[in-house]
Amino acid sequence: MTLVSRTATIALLTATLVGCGVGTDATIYPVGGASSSTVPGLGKALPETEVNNAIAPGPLDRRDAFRLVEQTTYGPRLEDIELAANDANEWIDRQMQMPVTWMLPALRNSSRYGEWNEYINVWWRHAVQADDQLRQRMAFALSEILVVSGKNGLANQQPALANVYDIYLRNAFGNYRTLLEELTLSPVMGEYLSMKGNHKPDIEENIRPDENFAREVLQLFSIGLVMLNPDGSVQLGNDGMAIPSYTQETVENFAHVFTGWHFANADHFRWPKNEDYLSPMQPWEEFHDKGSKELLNGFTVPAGQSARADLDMALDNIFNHPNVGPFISKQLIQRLVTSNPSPQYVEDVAAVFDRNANGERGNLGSVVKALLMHREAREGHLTSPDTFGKLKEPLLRVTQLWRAFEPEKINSNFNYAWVANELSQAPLASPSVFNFFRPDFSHPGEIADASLVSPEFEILNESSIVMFTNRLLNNSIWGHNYKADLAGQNIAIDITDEMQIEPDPAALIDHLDALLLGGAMSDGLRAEVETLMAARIGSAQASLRVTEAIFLILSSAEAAVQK
Amino acid sequence: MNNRQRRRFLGLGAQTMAGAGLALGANPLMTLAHAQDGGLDTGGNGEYRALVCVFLQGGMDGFSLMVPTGTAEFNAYQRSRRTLAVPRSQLIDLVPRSGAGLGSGDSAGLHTAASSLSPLFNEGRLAMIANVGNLIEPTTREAYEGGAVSLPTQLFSHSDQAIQWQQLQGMNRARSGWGALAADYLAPGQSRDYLTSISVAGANYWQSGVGQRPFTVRRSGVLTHNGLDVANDWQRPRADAFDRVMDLEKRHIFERAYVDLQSRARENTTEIGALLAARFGDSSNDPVPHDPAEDMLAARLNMVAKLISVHAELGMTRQIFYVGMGGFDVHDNQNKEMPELIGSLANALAGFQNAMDMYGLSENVTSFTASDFGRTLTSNGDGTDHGWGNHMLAMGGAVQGGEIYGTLPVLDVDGPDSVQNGRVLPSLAATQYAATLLDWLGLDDPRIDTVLPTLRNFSSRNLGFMRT
Repeated sequence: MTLVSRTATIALLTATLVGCGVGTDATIYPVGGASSSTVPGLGKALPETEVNNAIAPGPLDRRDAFRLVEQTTYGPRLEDIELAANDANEWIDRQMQMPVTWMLPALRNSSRYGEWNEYINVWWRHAVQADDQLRQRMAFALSEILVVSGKNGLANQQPALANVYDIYLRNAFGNYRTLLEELTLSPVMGEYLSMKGNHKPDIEENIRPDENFAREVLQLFSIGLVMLNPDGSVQLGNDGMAIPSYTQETVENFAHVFTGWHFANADHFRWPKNEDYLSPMQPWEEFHDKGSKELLNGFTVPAGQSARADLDMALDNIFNHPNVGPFISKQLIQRLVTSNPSPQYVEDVAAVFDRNANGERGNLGSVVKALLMHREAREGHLTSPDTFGKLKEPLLRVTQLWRAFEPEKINSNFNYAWVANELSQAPLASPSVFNFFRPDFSHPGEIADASLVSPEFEILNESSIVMFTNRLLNNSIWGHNYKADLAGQNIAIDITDEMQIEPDPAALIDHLDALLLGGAMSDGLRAEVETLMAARIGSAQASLRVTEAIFLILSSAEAAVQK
Repeated sequence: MNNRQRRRFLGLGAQTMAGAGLALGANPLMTLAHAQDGGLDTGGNGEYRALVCVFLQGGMDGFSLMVPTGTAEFNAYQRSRRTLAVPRSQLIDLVPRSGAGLGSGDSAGLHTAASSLSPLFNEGRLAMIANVGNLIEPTTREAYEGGAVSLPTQLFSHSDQAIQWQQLQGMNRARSGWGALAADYLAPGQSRDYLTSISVAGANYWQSGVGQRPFTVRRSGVLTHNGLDVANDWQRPRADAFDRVMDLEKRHIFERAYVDLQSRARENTTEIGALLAARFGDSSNDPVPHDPAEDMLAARLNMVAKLISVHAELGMTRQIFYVGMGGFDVHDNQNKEMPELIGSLANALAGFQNAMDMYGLSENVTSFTASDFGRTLTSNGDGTDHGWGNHMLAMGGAVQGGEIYGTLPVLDVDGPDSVQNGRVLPSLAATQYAATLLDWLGLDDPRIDTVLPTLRNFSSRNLGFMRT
């Protein structure tokens, strides 16, 4: 097949970050946040993966390389596939050592700064253009597990939302315990799950501490509702019922722990006038409950401690619960690799969460490497060809298109901040703390009959699938760089390379197959693309033949499922 | 019949309702010989009945919606809720038609933000059902505290309680919702079985099951594919290719599910879209007035009203609709947010009822609320936490309205109806509430017992708020 010109640009994609036009200067960040010391420096040696059942080092064929790139980026480009084909470990290391592309500085530098939901446009730009793709994917995955959302009145706090996104980015390969603490003390989370301003009981006024954050940090961010085995399966009691991991009393005790925090340097605990949405919250001892609190696994926080000491102990108590490894590892596998990992896969990755080669618990860099280097991530398509993989969520399908045909420059008027109305999701815009979809959602019908889960199907239905298909048509057939009248607010896909191959339809289809489907296009789809292109011969421009092919491929079920 | 047509007629029910497609004639609009089987009534006489589930996401605070007005009872409420108690001046007295005395222990008032509902109560088309909740069997405070009773799992967890309310299959999550199980019986009697369950709020557990899943419509309208019109000469090659790609053999289970949805959308939205466009034209003819940006529930109910208005053209005699409204998880800012939420809810419901009246379908359509749980009697300063028992609304011409069914709980943290620091123990079970609605919809007792397996644990299987 013909290699196109873009491929030539890959060679220099190395130590220096070039030409992506996004803020990457870690020194202007964090703003009052925690230290950025957990970010691996460029070139720092990373440990070999320590996961059981890892694949052997060595080159990958093009399909396998494509799969790895799909799992680790916002959409494959030919140069990435080529690079990843050298060796999976090398590709992952390279990705993990890329400098961080931060959101907050980029938002502040945006020419549209201050416009409604501009942070979402920054997110689009980074998803399409940033070089630290795996970190960006991890951050997005974490934002779908430890959810905070601009819905509920925070939408106007865009720098604050960007600042939270930078917490996910900073800790993407750092330690889960640090991530949990930074999110807990974020005033955005404090507002979202109402820990900010939560205060000790006032029995006279019948006031009890707010249970919102206490409940969701346990249920959604760390250990889940029921006791898990190391392989992620549910522990059953003698009565055959799942064993709950905590009780209502536990929630109430944690709610007492999370009292006495408010905006940094707030002038008043109940009605502060100065609202610092960027700095971590600070304790107010007089509003903190000083009683003892019984937490998980029989651990008791002693009476009389400061808000800070209580918080440290409580987060340690959560962090050290045996559920965290399987609970978080399984969801990260679901976000990046497959909806239905085998128990062995979960167990192997969770073991790395529990203790990596350096003896560290909760190292997310080790976890992500483990889940990508595991045999099931690399060979699941062979052992479970009918079920391995996942439905791509709508945002990832759009970014796949834009990365595959990435323009040199995204128009400065670019605006797709309203995406949530159209595609049922947008970064940091979940309708609730339960994310756009739940990890255990099972689509009724054949999938549920087979006892499989399919999280992303929760937002796919007869209307959203039409919306998505129409969006794809808009952004391919009606949205490319050979159209003169293109509206400036969209990303125009760049089909310059494809236009050069277009006179040879077979070569073009080979090329699109490699770029969009990793060379796995079915014969049936290939035949239909050929037929459609032939039908447009003579009556249409070459650019239409190219974009008809792109639309037909990307709107197919083959392209909708990562496998 | 090609693959697409087969899928269209059998839909998801292919396995469990193998006979459904056989009843269909060549003309989908013709009146069918409806299934009449013992006590099951799927509308064979042509009479239309629809249930509309209004799910209030996050745990609606029923104790702000309806407040006891007996002196002692109101005082107990005020002592519990303190600054969050709705003031007496913001309550409209509910005067039950059966004549329970104002100021007595069982008198109550409706939040003034819900004033648009009070005429419906007074006219007898709105009933309040007091202190309903998710229960496995009748539960007293002693039994709860002594562990002597089966309880729903994960009480006070949003996801679990919302799902259990929508399924009512016992202690755990199940495969089917009670709406889906009812629809299993009703769908075979419909011209378009896939339109028996319609959601205007996306995926939900109430309408999902082994044999059913909802057909999903967007609140703004039925969408059709752009640029894929087979009747358009220019688009036809693309549309044909698109359709043939859908029909390709798929090995991967997710690919088959994807194509199944795409295919359902492709085949069915054009017809419904055209019907709605012909009847309503643009938004100036919206049956339920609303601001599309602000009034999410009213917008969704507007779409339900439109779909109901074309039920006869679609050959439907039984339907269940699901709509949702978010924002009820008021851990914060309750005094500001609850009146706004109650106002939106009330206006949307009243607007919808008005549309049903306009269509002459008041007797045929019953709307009811459901929610994750009620909220705590205690306050956390400016909000409330996850509770249990809650007050519900049932609305429509077939409702024996103007009454408060059940018993108002004692809203005292240390009282007999409070467990777990101010979480109210339900005195009526959600399964009894559901059974009352399904009885009206046309299911007979044996089928209701199948749909609601814990109903037999309760002495009363019908709460009496529906006309029979």
